[in-house]
Amino acid sequence: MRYNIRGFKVFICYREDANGSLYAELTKLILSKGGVNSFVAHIERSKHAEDFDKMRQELLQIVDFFLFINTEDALSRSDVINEFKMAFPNGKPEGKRLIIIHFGKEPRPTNKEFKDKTGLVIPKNMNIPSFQDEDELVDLIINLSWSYRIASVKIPRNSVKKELRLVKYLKYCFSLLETRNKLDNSILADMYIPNNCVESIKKTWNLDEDKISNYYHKPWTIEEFLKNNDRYIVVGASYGIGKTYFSYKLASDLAAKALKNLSTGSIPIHIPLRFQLNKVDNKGNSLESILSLIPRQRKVLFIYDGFDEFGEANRTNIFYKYMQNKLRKYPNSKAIITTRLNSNVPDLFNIDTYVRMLPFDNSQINLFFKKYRISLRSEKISKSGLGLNEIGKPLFCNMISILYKQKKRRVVSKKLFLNRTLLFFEVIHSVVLGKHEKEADNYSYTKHHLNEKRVLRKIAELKFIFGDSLTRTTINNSIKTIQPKIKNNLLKHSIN
Amino acid sequence: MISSYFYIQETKKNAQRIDFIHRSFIEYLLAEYYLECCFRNQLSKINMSILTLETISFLEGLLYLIKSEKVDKNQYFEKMIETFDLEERNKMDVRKQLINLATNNFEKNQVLIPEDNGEYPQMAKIVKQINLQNHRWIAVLLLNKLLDNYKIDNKTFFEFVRSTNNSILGNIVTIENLNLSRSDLTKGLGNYNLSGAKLSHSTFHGGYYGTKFIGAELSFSKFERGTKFIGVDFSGANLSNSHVVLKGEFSIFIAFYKL
Repeated sequence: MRYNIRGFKVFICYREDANGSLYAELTKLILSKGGVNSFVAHIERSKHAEDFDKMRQELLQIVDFFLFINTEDALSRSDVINEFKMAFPNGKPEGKRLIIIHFGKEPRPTNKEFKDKTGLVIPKNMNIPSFQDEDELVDLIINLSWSYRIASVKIPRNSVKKELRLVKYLKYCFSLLETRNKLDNSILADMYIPNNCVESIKKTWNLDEDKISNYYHKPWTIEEFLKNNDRYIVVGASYGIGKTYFSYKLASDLAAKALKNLSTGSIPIHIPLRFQLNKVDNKGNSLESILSLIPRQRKVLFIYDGFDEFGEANRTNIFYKYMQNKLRKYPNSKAIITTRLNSNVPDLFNIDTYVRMLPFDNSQINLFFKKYRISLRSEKISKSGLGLNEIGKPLFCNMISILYKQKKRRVVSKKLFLNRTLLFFEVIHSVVLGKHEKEADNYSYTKHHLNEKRVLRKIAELKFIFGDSLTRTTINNSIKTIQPKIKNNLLKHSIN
Repeated sequence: MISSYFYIQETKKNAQRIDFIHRSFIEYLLAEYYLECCFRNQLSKINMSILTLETISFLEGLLYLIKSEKVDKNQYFEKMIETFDLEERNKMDVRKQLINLATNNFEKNQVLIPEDNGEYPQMAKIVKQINLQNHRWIAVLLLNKLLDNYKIDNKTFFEFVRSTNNSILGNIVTIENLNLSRSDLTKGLGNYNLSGAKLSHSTFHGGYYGTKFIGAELSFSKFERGTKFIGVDFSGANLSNSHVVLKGEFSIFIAFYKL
């Protein structure tokens, strides 16, 4: 590997056995801050011996600032000094600043000053910074370079912190594709099959998928949307089509691109509207909190997921104004709103066209079952009694696959006359019953099953009423009053 | 296995928030809950939550099991008997119970609120005026889905419709199996969805603003002079032998169809 070291101002040596990616991460992150060009090398020079030796003299001439980092506290201070001396056997280069820092996981003050004839000095009681992760380490390096007036452009400390938080948020968005399917614990990235999307006219909003084929549709892609002049688009689909997974995939893909190109990439913000605008990541950050990290001129894609879960009618009007306000505030931003096909949505968003997410076609259904390693084909499912619109729902494919694994061929029997209600009925019934059959020796499982269904229904009602403010405590209090025969500990069993 | 229903997340306040694996599971189980309330004659609890299209659609699916005479559906009915603790009752008994419940509750113009026994925390905040007649909508649904061409008291029906949230009728609860013939609709209607309604021999007067009569049965109906139709959709409606009453004389009815 060859480096063009001209222009490097900071030379960083580090020791990190466990994490091989640190080298690349540090280089990328420090460079992305602007104004600080760094050269990062492993402290055990053997790992970059050729590069280091070839460039040593040039480094001594060009680099302003040498930084030795002992990241894992793996070496003693004297070891680091020895390493340094081996790296620069002729001592401190004339006019250069040399700093050895025990960046460590825990702060460790130095007890005495170290000074040698080469001019290397480690002051007594020097505050030794500590760090928890790569982002913090980079933050410390940047701050240090400012304090030694190395950085050509001083970036306000807050900006760096903001950018680091933004990187963390983007990493969270990227990880959305690692979400596990709660039905079968599969990972989204492994199983995701994109739905076909078409741009359709408002008139088709209330029509079922099999009826909209009479109208002309234009295929829709996110790439095209990001390039055109539209500021926002509503993506409509009935339940179970995969709107949320679509939004995860979108956010994850854009986050991956933004992480590669932090300064110019389009920044996705995934906003699950069931939490209104109060929680947009796993840390509980609000939308406003994430927006405070992003300069107004940046490209931003607001991905509002599940508008139908936002709240009651009086709140939805407020949302539209809020969304428009954000689009004005961030002139290079766009918004995507996913929603069920509730009748008031087109008028509320003042749209003539929208994007319709379509159910799976036969080839997608077959691909789905192939990924789940189930020997089912769409032609077989169509005999079960489910409608065309239902067969193509990923949620239903998922439920059928669960039933199929349990009951094999019965689920696609011609005689079953399955409809969507029966599919839910069967899945819940078989799961509850299956659970209790395993423990049937211990008690009357029919009675227990009955009680569990009652508890489930009650929890569903409470969840519907209280939404995300529903907690286990609330349920416990409510369950107590239903019927004496429903045991309190049933809930405990249910959610443990 | 139970993780098939819930997943639990710790909240900032160290409380445990419980989520279902998919929102549609909540809606399905809520439909079962409504049906359970019917079986247990606890209709007031239905008034604690708002009615949604998805939940009502699932409830219709469950009622179809009770109505259907197809042999294979009986397998599910057996399971339903078990899961709702209906013991040895047959379909006819179950239907009869639900129809009696529906007729009694539909006819009584009253609001129902459950007793505050701690089942619903902060009950005063949850109870909403708009939901307090939901049990009557469920009664309409039961009558519509369990019976064919049931002759409902049309005066009571339209008084009820006018007194409640119009977004429910047609958009959530459909009435295609109810016999609403000979209705007196001389007070006009707003943005109601009467698509598929059986309204033959009815009398219309007053203002109709955005009312939908798509595919409705309006034959032999009378439209009194001065009746206004603004933004009304008659597409697919049967208007045969309908006429306008003009000073005691009959003339040909002329309507503009919204296609």
